[in-house]
Amino acid sequence: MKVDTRHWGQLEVEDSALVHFPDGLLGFEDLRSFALIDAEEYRPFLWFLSTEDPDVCFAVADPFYFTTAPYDLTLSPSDEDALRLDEGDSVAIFVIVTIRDQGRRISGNLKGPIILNTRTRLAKQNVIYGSSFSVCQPLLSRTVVPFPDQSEGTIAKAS
Amino acid sequence: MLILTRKLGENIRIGDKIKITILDVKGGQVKLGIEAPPHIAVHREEIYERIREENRRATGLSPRTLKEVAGVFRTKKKRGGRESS
Repeated sequence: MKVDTRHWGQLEVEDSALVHFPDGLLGFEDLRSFALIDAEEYRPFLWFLSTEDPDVCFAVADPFYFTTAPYDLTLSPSDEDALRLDEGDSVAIFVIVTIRDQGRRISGNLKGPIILNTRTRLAKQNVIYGSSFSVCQPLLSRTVVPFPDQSEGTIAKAS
Repeated sequence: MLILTRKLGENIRIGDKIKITILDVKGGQVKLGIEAPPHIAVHREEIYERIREENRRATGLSPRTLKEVAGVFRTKKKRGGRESS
């Protein structure tokens, strides 16, 4: 399908890249349909683009970049219903990435991960319990990279 | 909005499965005990508000910034993740 975007103009998106959020996302409750774009030049990040609002897109990453702590994502029966999760299905977990200060502060929203059933392409943003995870968890310092304008060999502080 | 007045130790039932108990009232704060089945998500309202804000902020990311960050990220990985702290 054709998707209008603010940043890239009109894109042709394969149906297999579409993701449906039956409940929308917090802050974007009216938007249901997104395209998940994995483009070489942005890896390890991926983009979610709204197919309904050209102004709405955001980047996601694997939670692994932000935590080594056990990330307990027990899905409730109502989550399983919403995702139409059957035995044998696999889910993909993404955290929404925020980049502040021109790239110096990279954080992931571990408190509100996106869970995607890769078979049904249904997804939802969950709110997880416990105080150990933050909505803006800094990138782990050992994976944090020096940004180009910083001197070679230094590690950008994540906080 | 349904408004109910309760005393310390009293409860409110929502449906058959949810029970809210007034545990303590002190200095403008109310402590509630909430019993609900595991499939009912119970969170402070602020958590939703913070996620909503963070989601909106995330949409302000420019492809150029992400490309730069991703590029440095990959270079670093290629170098074998040499790092100092």
